[in-house]
Amino acid sequence: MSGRRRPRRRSLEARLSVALGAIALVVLVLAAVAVDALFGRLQQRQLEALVGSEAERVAGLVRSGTLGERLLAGDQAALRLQFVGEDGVVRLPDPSEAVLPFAALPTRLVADDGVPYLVAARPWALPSGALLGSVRVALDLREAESSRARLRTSLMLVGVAAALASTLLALIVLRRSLAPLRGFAQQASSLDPAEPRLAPYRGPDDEVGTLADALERALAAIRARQRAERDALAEIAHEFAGPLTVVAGELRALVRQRPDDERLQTARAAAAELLHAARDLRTLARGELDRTLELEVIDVGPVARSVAREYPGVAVHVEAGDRRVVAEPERVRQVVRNLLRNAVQACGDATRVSLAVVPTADAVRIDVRDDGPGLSPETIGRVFERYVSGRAGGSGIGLAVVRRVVESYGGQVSVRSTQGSTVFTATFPAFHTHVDHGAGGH
Amino acid sequence: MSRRRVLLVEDDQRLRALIERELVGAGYHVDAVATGGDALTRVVDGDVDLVLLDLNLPDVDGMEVAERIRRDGNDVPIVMVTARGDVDSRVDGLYAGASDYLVKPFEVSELLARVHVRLREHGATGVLTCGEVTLDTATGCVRVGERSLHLAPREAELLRLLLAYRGKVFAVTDLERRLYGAAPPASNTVEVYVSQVRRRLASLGAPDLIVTIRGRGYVVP
Repeated sequence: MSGRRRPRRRSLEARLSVALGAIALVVLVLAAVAVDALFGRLQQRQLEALVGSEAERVAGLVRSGTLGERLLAGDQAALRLQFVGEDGVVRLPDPSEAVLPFAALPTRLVADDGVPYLVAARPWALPSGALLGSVRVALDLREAESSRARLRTSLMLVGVAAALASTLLALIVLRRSLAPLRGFAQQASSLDPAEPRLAPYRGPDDEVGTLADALERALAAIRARQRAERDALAEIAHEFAGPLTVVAGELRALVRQRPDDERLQTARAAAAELLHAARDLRTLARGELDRTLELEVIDVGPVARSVAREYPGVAVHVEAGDRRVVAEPERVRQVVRNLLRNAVQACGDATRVSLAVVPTADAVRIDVRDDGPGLSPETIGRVFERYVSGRAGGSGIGLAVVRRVVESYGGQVSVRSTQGSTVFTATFPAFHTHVDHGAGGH
Repeated sequence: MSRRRVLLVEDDQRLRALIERELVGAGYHVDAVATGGDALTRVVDGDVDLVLLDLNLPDVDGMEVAERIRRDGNDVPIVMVTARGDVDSRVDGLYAGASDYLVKPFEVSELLARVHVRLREHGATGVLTCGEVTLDTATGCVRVGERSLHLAPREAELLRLLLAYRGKVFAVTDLERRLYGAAPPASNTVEVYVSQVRRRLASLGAPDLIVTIRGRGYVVP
């Protein structure tokens, strides 16, 4: 049952939301890159226009002879202006300055010290028309580029944050919409194999609703099939009932007449076995245990002793105390008988089987121990299931009946098995747990 | 005591022969018939202490037979025998007035035990005892040690049932049917009777004789 499910599965929610987050991240990063590129081109064009127009303007001023103190527009410290002679020497503002390169169109360059700048040049002409050289304008791009870098960083940060946020949101939304699936899984893992049924699904008619419908239809089909099987079982048991009663009864009478005939005794024991098997089938058939009417307050001790007499050699130990339970006596007998039969079949010898009735605080425990080969770990968990036979020679009915009967009375069944010692235990709630003291009237 | 008469109604000849032989062997006088019609005739003729009734009869359904017996006011114990093991038929059987119910296949020894118990309980008159408590069913006088008092007839019948079927858990509906027959009383009448009997028993010093089993009914354990 397990084994295949390890290693620990990862949650679908987590995987889906991480995937969604990753997709969001990629999309946002791509968007950020695109925005950055667009912004960069726009910025470049604007700055080029600025540098170009500045060079043009200065050249124009010089040409028209209205050379003032302030050649450069505004107060842009980032802009530098040079008048370079035909010989390539800076004439203004300072001949010692490194000469700016000539560029007919605005061009981005990087200075030796790593500072990026944009440069543009125009002819340096006097009002007379004499050409003296070129007017060169340079714009320091550090400011612009760092603001672009800042924009890029913020875009990235926003992108990552948005991706994280979308992961979280996806997780929450998925968690909510997948909750019914978790519910199904939980119900499925605790499904009663005898009556598989899911709680009705009350949710939107979406994919989950479709799944719920499909599951319910499948389970309904299984239930119908099981019902048909049980009906067939009941029908078979019904057919056997009359003849079996006659066979067992007549053999019983014959054994009384000829008590020394071993073959008759064998036949009689076999008939009794058949009779009990038919009853077990009936018990597993539909409805038999749903309501018991003939409840009695009975001491489990004498009942267990009388059943044990059917298996001569079984050691019986009945502990003192209040061993009363509320049940149909025949049901308790059926439980004890099936546990004993199972044990005797497993080890092949009634003298290697022991039966104990132990009253505990709130229950009466019936322990049946045998020293036959133990149960394998694979079968031990399923040994109370219908048609699952733990050991050779079992039909897989007896223990299923034990569990159905015991659980119908609110009791429990369990089994412990080691090599050479197997103990089946059935508990019935003690009589006093059924007593309603509130209605005691005193 | 004269031999008790059991009316056996069973259409399966083999079963009828077996059960008749066993009952006779156990000391009962047995009338064995195969049909519901014959059964009703015998009951009307009287002198039957217990009816062992198969549900699956060729002419009149066993349930119907039980109902007719009860309708005539006859409270003879009826033990129903059937191969139908499902709950519905058990409920129907008990409502039709059966005292007990045996599902095939069964061991003849079980059947004898049931017949024995039902006959004993039905005839449980005279003085019934449980520990210190005694009930004289003839007078309705209940006694605990030195103290005693008289119960009203229905109270006495209630206590008689619980003492006669000691250990059996009586559902409220079951008690209603046994105390009132086919005309059930107002819904909580039985509960009222039970608490009255309890109060009377408490006044005598036996408050815990009748125990309530949660969701099931009452019992003298």
